[in-house]
Formats: sequence, structure tokens, C-alpha cells
Amino acid sequence: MSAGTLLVEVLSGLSLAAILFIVASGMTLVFGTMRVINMTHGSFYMFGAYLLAITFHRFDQHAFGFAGAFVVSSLLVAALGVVVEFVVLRRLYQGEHLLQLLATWALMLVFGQLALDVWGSATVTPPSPASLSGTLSVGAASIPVFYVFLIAFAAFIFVALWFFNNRTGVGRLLRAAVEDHELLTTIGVNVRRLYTVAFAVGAFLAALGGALIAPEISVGPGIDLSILVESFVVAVVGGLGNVNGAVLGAILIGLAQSFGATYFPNMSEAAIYFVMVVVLIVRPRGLLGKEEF
Amino acid sequence: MMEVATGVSLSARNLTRKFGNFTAVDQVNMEIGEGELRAVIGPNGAGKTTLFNLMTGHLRPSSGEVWLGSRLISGKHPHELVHYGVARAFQTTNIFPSMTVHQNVVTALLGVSRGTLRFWGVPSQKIQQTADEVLDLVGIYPHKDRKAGILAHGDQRALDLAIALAPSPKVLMLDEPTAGMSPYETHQTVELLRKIWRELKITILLSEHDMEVVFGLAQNITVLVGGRVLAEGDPASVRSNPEVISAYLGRAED
Repeated sequence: MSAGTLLVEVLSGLSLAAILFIVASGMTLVFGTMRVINMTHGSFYMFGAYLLAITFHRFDQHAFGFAGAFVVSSLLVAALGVVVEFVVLRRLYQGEHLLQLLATWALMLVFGQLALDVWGSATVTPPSPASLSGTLSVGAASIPVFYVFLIAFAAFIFVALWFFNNRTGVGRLLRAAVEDHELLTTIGVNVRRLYTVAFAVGAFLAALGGALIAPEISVGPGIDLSILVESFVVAVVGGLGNVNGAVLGAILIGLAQSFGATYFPNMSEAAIYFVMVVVLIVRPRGLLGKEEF
Repeated sequence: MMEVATGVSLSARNLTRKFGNFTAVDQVNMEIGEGELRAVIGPNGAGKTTLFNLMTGHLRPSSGEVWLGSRLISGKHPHELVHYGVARAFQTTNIFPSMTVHQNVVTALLGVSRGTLRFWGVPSQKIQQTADEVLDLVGIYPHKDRKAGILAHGDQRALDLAIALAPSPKVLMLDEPTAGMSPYETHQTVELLRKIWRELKITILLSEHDMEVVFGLAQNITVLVGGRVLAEGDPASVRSNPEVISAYLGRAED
């Protein structure tokens, strides 16, 4: 295998990892802060992708139009996240975690059916933004510009999340909530409002992932469930609740998907689970997971 | 008989809380003066924790009211009460274990700073300095850069106190502050509480099932038995109250 093919393979894996990281970081943020495993996370991703497909036509098909479309899509989904937290989850914090899981699962089914009714069973693929399509030539290899864009964007999101977590008041309190949310009440924090913010940020990240990848995939029924499973695997491999872990998990799983599809096409679906099983045998809490959960 | 300072700080009026048919707190009336150090004692199950939960908004009263000065506070959320100046430390140690000691107190100050969820909550110079002062007061300043999770138990309790004291509360409520402590640690804690009370001149309300701990510390003692106030007064009068002796001392086993 040539160095060029290997480079393309690695970049393809990393571009998958980029989307997985963005989506899984939202899931891990929500879990870390609120201890909720959010089954509607995939629905938020799906809505992000559909909304991008709809709104992109309204903008011109260049990078700016794409930027406008995905910001609009993600913000709409973040608003939906606020509604879900307010109307459903807020009533269930006192109860068992199983209730939250079941409620968000039920919502996932409702949202899935809603998408099917509104957009039908046919798939759509929004066009790639003109300035991001095409390829770069590196030696003999030609690399899709969009891959590079996705990887750069995920790196930007990682830095932005780091800044949010470490340099802002809300972020510091969110990190504190990971450790002890009852103590937050004791120090005068409105934990309910903090949870709403966390859930909205989680939904925003899921939608951002969906909107970014939409031009590369077939947007249709079922993408909610597949991304839910994949981002859950990423979050678990990295250590649930840990954003840095989500980076490692996403890179491992992205590369496993990319190389799995090339070298073990019959078993490519199983590749990510194989990685997960191996990681969990070695580190039951995930790569960067902590013991106290 | 009661030596009460100038104004009334915290008061309970006909405070009652029922759980089904069980009345945990029954028609309790209490007035705690500004700057007073009051202990609520009673055997396990006397309703002390329920009473505290009612006063800090963790539970809503079935009937009756709680006042902070001239402000009605029953029905408010616990996090709101922190902003009004009621701080609480629980029976269990509550700290952020993976943060440093100093970060713990800074986080507590962030929590209470105006507009909790304001985006740019960068700890200012003043917050850093206040944190240092509070740590110095409770005596763990030398440990400020250590991880809170690896401190000795006694130092963790001191940090717990520092977190409660960080926002400069008017009233500090402590749930059995010496629970599970050795006699030496108990002595240390009592001395620390006395120092805090003297230096900050704040109102302190603490609950305790061990009577001996509070006799040397509290100005006034309220005895709670079966959810009702059995007796109230200075330590000497409470100690010699025959009802207290028979109802409480006779039963307390731990």
C-alpha cells in the first residue's frame, strides 16, 4: 500500500472522527453534567442534517451560505433542546435514571416518526458548498478539501469547548456539576437553569455535527439511531463525561471505521464494537474515565 | 433567661412538616437573634434535619413560615436563600474533590456572584483574595494548592466550612458538624466554630445529638423531641430542666 493511499485512509478516518467527536462531546457533556444518557441526541443530529438540507437552498451555495445555514440549523435545534429539557426532563430529575432514559428514548421514536411524516422516506443530500468541494493534491494522493475542513472545524470546536469549560463562569460551574451537583445548590447556583444550558449546548453540538456532515451523507430515516449508537460508543471508549476522552474515542473509532471498511469490508460494521470491547476490557471506565461514577 | 442580641435573624413560626401521617416537625416556634450562636439538640429522629431542611428551602413546610429578618423565606429555593445570606454545611463532607482547595472556594464565590450564569465569569483579583482570606480563617491556607480529594478528613470538613463561608453569609447553618469525629477532631471543630463566630460575628445555628459538644459552645439551646420544642434557654437552664433530663438524656444512646 502506498503512502498516498495510507494518507487518504487516515484523513478519511479523521474526518469521520471529527463528526463523531463533535456529536459525542455533546453527549458526554450532558451525561457528565446531568447524569442523563440522552437518547434523543441522535434526533438532534438528524434534525441538524435535515434543517441544513432545507436552509442551504435559501443561501447561496458557497462557504458563507453554508456557514449561515448550519448556524441557523444548529441554533434551531438548540432551542428544541431547551423545550425538551423544560417540558420533559425537568420533571424526571428526582426519579430514577431509567425514567430519563425511557423518556428520551420515547422522544427519539416520536421525533423519528415526525421526520418520516414531514420529509418522507426518500433520502436527500444537500450539495457540498462550492468552495469546500474539490480535492487537494499531496504528492500522488488527492485529498478531498471537505475532509480537511471537517478536521479543522472539529479542532476549532475542541478549542472552543476547552475555552468554554475553563475560562467562562458557566463552564466552570458545569465542570463543578460533574463533581457534585448538590453542592452547587449549596453555593447558590440555580442548578435547573444550569442543566437547561448544558442540555441546549449538547443539542447544539449534535445538530452541528449533523449539519456539517449532511453534504457527505444521505440524509434520511435511521441516521438518528446510527449516530446515537456511534457517538455512545465514542463517549464510552473515551470515558463518559470526559471531553478529552471523546477526542481519543472519536479518533480510535473513526480510524477503525475507515480502515475496517477498506480491509474488512464484510465486518466493517463490527469494527467499532471490537475496539470498544478491547478498550473496556483494558479500562472498564473508558480511556480517560474516572472511578467515582 | 435568653441572652439575645439586637435583632431577630432567623425565625420559625408554627412550622410544621408532615410525611404522610407522620409529623416530623410539629408547630415549632423559634427566634434566633442576630449574631447568636444557637444549638438545636435532640435524639436521632427528633426532627433536627427536617427542621433545617425547612429553614433552607430543601423542604416545603406543610404549614407555618420561616423568616429571615423581615423577609419571608419559606417557599424559596435553596439556591435563592444562599443569595439572601443563608449558608449551610451538611452532615456529609461536600467538596469538589478533583479541584484544588483554592479552586473549591473560588467556585463557591462564582456561584454566588451576581448573575450566576453570566458568561464571562473570570475570577477577579478580589475573588482570589477573598478565597485566600476564608482559607486562612478556617486554617487550611497552607493547603490551598493541594487537591481537595487528598486532604485529611478534618481538613476536608474545614474546606466544607470555607465553601459555606465564602459568600459572607449572615446565617450559617451546620448539620451535626462533629458527626463521626474522634474526640480530638470534635474539640478542634468546636474551637474552629468558636473562632469563626467571634471573628465574623455571624449568626450560627447548629444541630447536634451529642449534648456535651454544645454546652461549652452555644449561647442558647433549643431541645427538640418528637418534632416539638421541649425546652429552650441557656445551657445551664437546659441542663437542669427535668423534662429534658427524662425525655432526652435518658434516651440518647449515641
